[in-house]
Amino acid sequence: MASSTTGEKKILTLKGGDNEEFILEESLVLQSELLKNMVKEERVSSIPLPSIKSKTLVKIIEYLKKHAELTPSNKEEFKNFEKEFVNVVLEELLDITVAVNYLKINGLLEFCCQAVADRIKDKSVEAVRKIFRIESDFTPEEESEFRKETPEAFEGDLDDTTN
Amino acid sequence: QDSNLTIPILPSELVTEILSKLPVKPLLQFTCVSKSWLALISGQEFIKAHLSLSPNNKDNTNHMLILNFGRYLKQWSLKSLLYESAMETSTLYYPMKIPKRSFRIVGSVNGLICLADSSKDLVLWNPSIKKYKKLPDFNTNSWDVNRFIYDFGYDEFRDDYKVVGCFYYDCSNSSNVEVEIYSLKSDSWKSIRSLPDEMRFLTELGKFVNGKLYWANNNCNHYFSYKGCNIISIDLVDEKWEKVEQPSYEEGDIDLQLGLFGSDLSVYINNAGKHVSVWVMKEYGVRQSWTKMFTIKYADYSYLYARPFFMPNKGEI
Repeated sequence: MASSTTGEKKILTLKGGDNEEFILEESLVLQSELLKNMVKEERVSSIPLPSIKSKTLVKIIEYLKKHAELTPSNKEEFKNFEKEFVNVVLEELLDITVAVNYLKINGLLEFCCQAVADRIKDKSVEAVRKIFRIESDFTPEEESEFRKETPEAFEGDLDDTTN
Repeated sequence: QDSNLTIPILPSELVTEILSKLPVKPLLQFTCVSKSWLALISGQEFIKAHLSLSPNNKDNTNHMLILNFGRYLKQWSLKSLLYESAMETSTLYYPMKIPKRSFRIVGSVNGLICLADSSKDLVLWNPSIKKYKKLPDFNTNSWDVNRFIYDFGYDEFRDDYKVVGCFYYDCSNSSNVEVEIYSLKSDSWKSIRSLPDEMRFLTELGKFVNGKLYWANNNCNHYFSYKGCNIISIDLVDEKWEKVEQPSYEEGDIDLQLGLFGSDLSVYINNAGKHVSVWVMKEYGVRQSWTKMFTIKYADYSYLYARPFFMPNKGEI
């Protein structure tokens, strides 16, 4: 009886930044608040996402598929998948995080932000400035004042790499 | 070729989201990344968001068990106590140079610890950022006081931390007590009038639960009977005292202690030295909401009983 509705799956096309097209089931993208609103309200069948690199989009679609298959019995497997998912160079992880933030995939956003935080927590101030593309607007005197006030925050080996 | 050029620029709300997931130490360090990061990290809104996130961190990474060894404290990470064979421990020294005598922990809320050195010197201390503040003297003349009771809590409405001090001149008379409340925002003590009769013989340790401080008291006349026990509370927002409805005690109940069960007030009642009943107040001030969770039988007949040791859902042990 239900076969007529379930047999017919809606298909959607996502277009990445380099015009590469990804065809997937509409039900998968409903995890994204942004895309959900687009398909529900505007009934579109093709969505251009020029700000997202295709490489990033491939990763995100991979996550959406895994997440859709999540059941209580494969929870452990999913956790391992998540761990591997963020095990990429920092630059790529930031690309993914920005895209996930744009697409509003809330559960994954939390996870990505925590992964970024874990990656930068032992970085030096200099490295963090490079990663977030920030120029210091403090005078050298102000900076040495900070070090005097909270010396323990500058103790230990700090990671100067941006990866 | 500079690979950094391909790093995307992050929208500010995303930067905030990421930073709010960092532990305190790197956050302190990153305040000198730029002026806007300093403003963000030291802003009230961010501090509140960070505070609400960090207790809910899975694995209890940010929870510490802190025990008092008289002149210093020792802390253990709860994560290492529960899940790891090697325990991470470190010693915390009294924040002010040398304690006059041994000091004690009055209470802790949101990672802020209130310490009392000797009887009348109080210190608020945030060990994560290693900052402390000595409280000003209270108004009551401490020379006449022979018993000091302090407790520490948080006024969520005003976002203010408060210390309640009860100063007893003479234990046998309820009129000989002064109560003052210290507010961190105003940095001053204020006397509280119209105290309930049940102020007599408050037991040393109060409990801070959902915006209220609770104490149990023992009335000397009924020492071996539950009839003498009262529970009183003070609401830290309006600073009003109230006598709290108690569970339906049973024959043989002789003594009670307050505790925390999850985020609710609970009492542990010693029944004739044979077992302890654990009651939980599910709804404030509603007698019917007291629920007996379980009873614990003693192995030996004993009037001495171990203080219950419970872990709330969030916060400290």
